[in-house]
Amino acid sequence: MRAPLALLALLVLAVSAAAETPRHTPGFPNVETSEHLAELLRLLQDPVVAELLLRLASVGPGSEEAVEELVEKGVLGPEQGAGILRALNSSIDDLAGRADPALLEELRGLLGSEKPDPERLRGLLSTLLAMRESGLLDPYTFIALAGILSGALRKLGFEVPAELSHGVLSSLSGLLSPSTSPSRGAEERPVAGVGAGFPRSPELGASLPSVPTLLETLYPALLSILACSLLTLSLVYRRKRISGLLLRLRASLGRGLEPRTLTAGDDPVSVYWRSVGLVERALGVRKLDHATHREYLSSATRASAELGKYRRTVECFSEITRLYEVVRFAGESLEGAAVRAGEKFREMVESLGRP
Amino acid sequence: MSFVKDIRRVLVDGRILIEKEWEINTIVACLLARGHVLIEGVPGVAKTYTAKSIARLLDLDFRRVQMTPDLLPSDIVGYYVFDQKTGEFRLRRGPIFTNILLADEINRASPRTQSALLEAMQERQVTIEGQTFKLEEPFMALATQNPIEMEGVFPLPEAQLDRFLAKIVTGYVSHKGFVEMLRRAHEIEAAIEELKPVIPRSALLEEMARSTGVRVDDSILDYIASIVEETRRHPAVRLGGSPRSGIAILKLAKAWAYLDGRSYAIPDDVKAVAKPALVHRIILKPEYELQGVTPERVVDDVLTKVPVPRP
Ligand SMILES: Nc1ncnc2c1ncn2[C@@H]1O[C@H](COP(=O)(O)OP(=O)(O)OP(=O)(O)O)[C@@H](O)[C@H]1O
Ligand SMILES: [Mg+2]
Repeated sequence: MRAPLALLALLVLAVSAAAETPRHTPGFPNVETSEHLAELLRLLQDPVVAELLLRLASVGPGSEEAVEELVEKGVLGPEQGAGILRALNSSIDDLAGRADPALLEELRGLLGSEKPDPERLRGLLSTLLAMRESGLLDPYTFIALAGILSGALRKLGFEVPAELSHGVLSSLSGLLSPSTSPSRGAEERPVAGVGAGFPRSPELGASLPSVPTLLETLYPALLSILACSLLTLSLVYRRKRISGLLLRLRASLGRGLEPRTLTAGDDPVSVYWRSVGLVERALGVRKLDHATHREYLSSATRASAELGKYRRTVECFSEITRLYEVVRFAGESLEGAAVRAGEKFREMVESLGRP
Repeated sequence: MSFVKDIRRVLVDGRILIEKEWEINTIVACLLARGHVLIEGVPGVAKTYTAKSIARLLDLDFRRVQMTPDLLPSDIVGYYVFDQKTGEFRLRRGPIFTNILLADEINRASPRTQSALLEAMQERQVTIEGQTFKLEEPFMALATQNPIEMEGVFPLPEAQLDRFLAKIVTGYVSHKGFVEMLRRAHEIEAAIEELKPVIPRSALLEEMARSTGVRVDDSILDYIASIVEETRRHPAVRLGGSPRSGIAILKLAKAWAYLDGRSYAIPDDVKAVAKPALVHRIILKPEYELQGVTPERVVDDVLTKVPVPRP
């Protein structure tokens, strides 16, 4: 009973990761391509691999062994495996160089306190997820931080939330070795159930659509499955995770990022790209690679007007965009631009909590 | 700068030229960038009115020549006539001695006359009977052509087209704009005759000099080069943008930025001027042309393919 459920959950998580791929921030590596997901779906046909991935996705005890076994099976490249292990064994301080200092400060503060506020922990989780999606966190650092966070949550007696596993799984999907031997092994050992609908034997493969095509055709159906499953999951965990996700992100960012933590490296240019990630997430408007900063600002403004909320968010974003433009293209080191951009960023993050 | 705002206020807000803001902006940008413009449009879409009103507002001299097959180069540049009273040859300057020259239906003139005009445009000087005369500053030629192929036209060869900094394709106004134009038809005609300069000529020349100082970040140069190169790679294109077209985008983008009151260019400026700078220099493969692909669409395609500078 447990295994098919877990497989279904994994499938759903993978598809939901696919649904989020368009929200990719230009200038950052996009790890979740449809090939990655197709690869992941293929891997999930092997119950052993699926079990290992599930164990790793829950970043609990035994995840290091899971990494080693996945490397052994060729699902993860040795380099990727070593990268994950290295990150899993890093302390928060080691990770500091790779992630947002403000985020780490928040994490350290929470873990150091006697009785961490669960709401703040959950807020932090949302921040982590947002940073992963916007590419601000590389997959290794994300997996490691997810491990630290889930450890803390477990200590408090909470289960590891589905979003976290989802995030880890999506990060993993970008690290999988393309067309690895075990996946071919899986083809040789067909299992009934989830994998049954996918082409496996060569003769069939010739006439059946490829996995990505299948994914596309099945997309509406998969999305509805996803919706139902997320609902079930949230019922199981008795939490309104999905709808509350953004609220918590805003709340946590508002608390976590003080202007003093936006230091030297946070020039208006990098502040701009960070705020693009937030606007993309809040308003659901992606910044296309060919869209200029001004064009993106108008799309965001339009979206905010249509939604009838996030007016202040967009106002802040507009000012950040202006500062970005002047610093980036006028070549001026605008007096106080970094400070002002930092202030506006914090104001923007706070405004997300009150759309 | 502020003079463009004044032009816009008078012509656009004053409802003298209806739905022609983009055309006005592009023409003024070309003037700042010291380039010439090819305007394509069917008869009666206010080509003459637009040129004339801009000239008036900028305190510039304006002349119009109707190009016909029998027009001679000397009809444009000028010639010497014998003055019986003084017994000397006297120079009769042609219409090219002006600030804004409107050459209507350029493709109706003979190739010889066309090339005489284009050469003068390029060199900004003319030679009459071995004597060289500099043209006035500023000098801008606006050549119009009808998009509908008619009999007895001499289409401009590619090399000549490349000499125009920009091509403006102008068309009919919307239905609403049309009704408004009809309502105001009388006033519009009178208003154009009464236009007063919004800037003295000397100040305009200063603005022109200043606009060349607009800062262009290296990443913008990169962006421009990528756009031009992408036009050459486009599947529907037989001949893509020339190196000169890249320079045209650059010059126009700087002018566009300056007109927007900025001392630096941004990717939006490049996007705004890419079409007028490129469309007349892109030659399509005939099979695509037959399918209705246009150079405008190619530029649109290219602009959605080339990423803007990052971070
Ligand atoms: N958008 C417009 N705004 C105001 N007036 C307009 C507009 N379009 C056309 N008109 C009117 O149409 C008439 C013709 O304008 P104009 O002579 O400038 O056209 P044209 O394009 O130069 O024509 P041709 O090709 O025959 O020389 C004018 O009376 C002008 O006021
Ligand atoms: Mg006319």
